[in-house]
Order: sequence, then structure tokens, then C-alpha cells
Amino acid sequence: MASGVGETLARPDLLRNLVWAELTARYKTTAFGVLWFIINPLLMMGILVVIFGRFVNLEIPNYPVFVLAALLPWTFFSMGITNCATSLSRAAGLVKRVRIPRAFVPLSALMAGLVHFLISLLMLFVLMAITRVRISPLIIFLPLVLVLQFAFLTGAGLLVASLNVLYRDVEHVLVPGLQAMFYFSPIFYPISYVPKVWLRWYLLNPMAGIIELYRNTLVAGWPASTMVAEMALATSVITLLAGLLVFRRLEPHFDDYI
Amino acid sequence: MTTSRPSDDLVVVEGVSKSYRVRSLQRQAMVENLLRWALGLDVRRQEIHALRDVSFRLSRGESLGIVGVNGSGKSTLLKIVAGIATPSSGTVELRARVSTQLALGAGFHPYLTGRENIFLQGSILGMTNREIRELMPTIIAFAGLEDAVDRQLWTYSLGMTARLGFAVAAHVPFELLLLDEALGAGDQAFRDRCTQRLESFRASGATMIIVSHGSENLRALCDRVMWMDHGEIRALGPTAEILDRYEDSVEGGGPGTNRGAQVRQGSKS
Repeated sequence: MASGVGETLARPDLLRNLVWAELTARYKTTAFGVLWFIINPLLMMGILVVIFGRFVNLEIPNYPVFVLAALLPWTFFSMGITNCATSLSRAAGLVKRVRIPRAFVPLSALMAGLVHFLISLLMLFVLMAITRVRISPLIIFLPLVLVLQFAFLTGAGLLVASLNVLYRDVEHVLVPGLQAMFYFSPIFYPISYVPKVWLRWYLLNPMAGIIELYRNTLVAGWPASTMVAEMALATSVITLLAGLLVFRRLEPHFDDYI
Repeated sequence: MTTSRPSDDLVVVEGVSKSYRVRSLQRQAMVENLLRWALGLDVRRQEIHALRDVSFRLSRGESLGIVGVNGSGKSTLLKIVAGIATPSSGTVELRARVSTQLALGAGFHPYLTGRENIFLQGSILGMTNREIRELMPTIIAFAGLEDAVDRQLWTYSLGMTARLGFAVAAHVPFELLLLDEALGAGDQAFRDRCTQRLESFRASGATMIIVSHGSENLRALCDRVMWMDHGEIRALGPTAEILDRYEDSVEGGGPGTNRGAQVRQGSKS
């Protein structure tokens, strides 16, 4: 029943098949398949560009690219967490009837999301090519940022997935919670707009730092700061540890509640 | 049976109890419990005891029947042995690859094809993709789904889906078979086929645990029978003896009337 790393390594084929099921089932049930992962952030980008590029003129150069570079990792995060929250109760057949590492259920949802995210990143590069925005030389650090976000996402995903089994309240808290995190992340405004005295508190939101790091590594002209990187690393690692711990504690009781 | 060499024991269940908290009642009592907790009194917990202090061993090649009325804890015990449910206290040692009836078709995905579902199901049951790939033609032939295997599962009839589930499970190597008769449906002919299949399993030396309301099948299939009553082992011994006593008790005024000298009685609080 352990959800340890050992068992994950022992059954890689199960995880692979679960991710594959998650991916293919989506393409077979929707007409546009992966396009939804591209259309959603594009729509959002359109809205933000009209409001903050035209109505409230923030005067940020290449605003569409600026916004999209942040919206894509945000979409990866918010869709992943929403998926994780209900993943175990949706997989009741697995949880109640077979013995598998139960962490595979939220984890496979996140890994399918990762595939979609990587595809949607291609769209950003297309937009950058069209609008002639240069790629940041820091792009070599992009894989590190990705690993960091996935670590945070795993922690947060395991947390909401396991807590939601015991208290379905979690999935209701999620909507306003994600909304607050969206506004308290440098998505449609640069992090430099955040007052210096607030910055440390602001960066307690792991997604704030992670999104800033994505923008630093993707788009030229947005230099990185070590303080942002440090805070993103610290908060993500803490979330990951908390997620692993809570999931391990609650995992033996899942079948009593689903 | 406890005298057999430890290496021969496939299952060792030691002092297993399982209780569930009744949450709706717990919520109603939340304020009261807060007060009690603050005053240092005992917090009132609404708990259902599904199993109390159950211990037994099962050695390789042995088959055990579990009988008892509804709610006596038979199925909970089976789930705990299978590793699906976790005991509140006590330990379960399992030294065998288990096959359970519960797992039949668990995790089937309606939008995946039959073939993709065989991969998914096979890996859920513990096979690697390589093993599944080798067995694929055999499984498809066994299920009789050569023409349908590349169609999505939702296009299958109920019977086809059931055949697919059974075909995968039947090809996963296992040492211990866990069955719950309450789950087995089907007509008399199908049940006869199942009984025949189980008898041949038994002849080949397979280890089994069969949960039942007390059917005659157990007489032919089991070496020992465990009689469960209110989550406790009421009696555990040779099949004929225990089943006779159990049947007398069920027919004559329900369980609890027949209390033989060797019957283990636990305290009921």
C-alpha cells in the first residue's frame, strides 16, 4: 500500500499506461483534443491584451508574448490541480477494488498535463517568431524551471487529492483559491509592480516565483533575480514534502471514504 | 495449522481489527465533543466495528472457506487480505501474488480500445507491458474478441466486457485466489462451470479463500472453514464440522443460538 518511490520505480509500466489512458481518452472524446489546451490560454491572452494592453495601458513591450509566457504554466498548474482534486473519487473503481500505488492516480493526471503543456509551449515559440520577440539566453535553465514546477505541482496535487477524499470541501475552496493565486501571480503585470516590502510575502505563493522564472527563461528582456529563484525553490520543496507526507498518512484510509 | 513451517504460510493474519467512524454522527457531536475534550472527558466516537481481533494462517495449497451472515465481516476481511483495505490494528502478511474477483474489470476505460484496455488492466494486475504483449494473442483468443479488440470498449456488450475482464485476469500468474460468492452472478449453468473450474484449481494445488453465505460448494472445495459472527471468528476448523454447526444455527433461530464448547466467543461491548 506504500506510495514510496520504490514502488513507483517497480511499476513504471502501470504509470505509463495510466498516463496513456488519460491522454488518449481525451482525444477520443473531444473534437479538438489538445487544441483546448491551446485555445484556453489564447482566449485568456486575448482578454488580458484588450484590458491591460488597451483599456489600462500598462505600456509593456510585446504584451501578448509577455502574457502568454505566464499563462501557459498557469494553465498547466490550475488544470492539473483541479484534475487532481477529484482524481481519486473519479477512480473509485481502482481505489476500492485493486491494490496499486494510489499516488499513481493524481500523478498520471499531472503527467498527462505535462505533455499538453509541452505542446502548448510550441505555440508560444510560434507567437514569438511572428512578433519577432527574442528568446532569452536563460532558456538553458528552462528544464530546471520545469522540474521545479513539476515538484511543486506533485506536492500540491497529492495534497488536494488526498484531502479531498476526506473533505469534499477542498474542491469548493479550490475555485476562489485558484482565483486569488492568479491575481497574486505576475501574469498580466510584471513582478516589479509589487512593492518591495510586500515582495517576500508575495513570493510565499510558489506559483508567483515559478511564473516569473518561466518569463525570465523564455522571453528576452526580463532578467531573473536570485531572491525569486530562492523563494520559488523553498516554497516548492516545502509543498512537495507536505504533499508526500499527507498523502502517505491518508492513503490507507481512502477506501473507507470513497 | 499454525505448526506448519513458516515458509509455507502464504497468509498470516494477526490480531486484525477494523473500525469505521460514522462521520455524519461525528459532525453532529462536534460541539459536544469539543466541550468534552476541553473539560478533559472522554470524546464520544461513533464507530462501527467491522472486525475484532481476527487471526489465522493459510499455508500453500490450502483452501479456506469463510461463512457468516450479512454484515459479519467476511467481505471486509477479504479486502484486508487482498491489501485493498487497511486494518485499524493488527498485521497482515501476504507472501503470494493475489488474484481477486474484485479486480475483474476494475480500471476499464470506456474510451480505450479493447487492446489498450488489456494493457491497462494487465499492468493494474501487476504484469509488465512486455509480459502483456507476449500474452496478447492468447488473451484475445480466450475472450473470443478477435474482431472487436481494436474497437473502443463502450461499443462492447456487457457480456463482451465481462469476457475481456475475465480473460485478462485468467492470464495473470497468481498463487492465492480470493473469491466472494456474493459477487458471483449468472445462471446455474455458469455457476456449475465456475465450481468445476475451482475444483480443478484446487486439484492443481492452488491456494484459495472463498467467502460465502454458506453454500454446499464449500464442502467440496475447502479444507477448513471459518465462521464469522459480528466481526469475530466464532469457529475455525474442519469444513464438515463447522458447516454443520453453522447451518444448524442459521436454520434454528439465527446465529447466536448454537454455542458449542469449542466455539470461540469474544466479548461484545
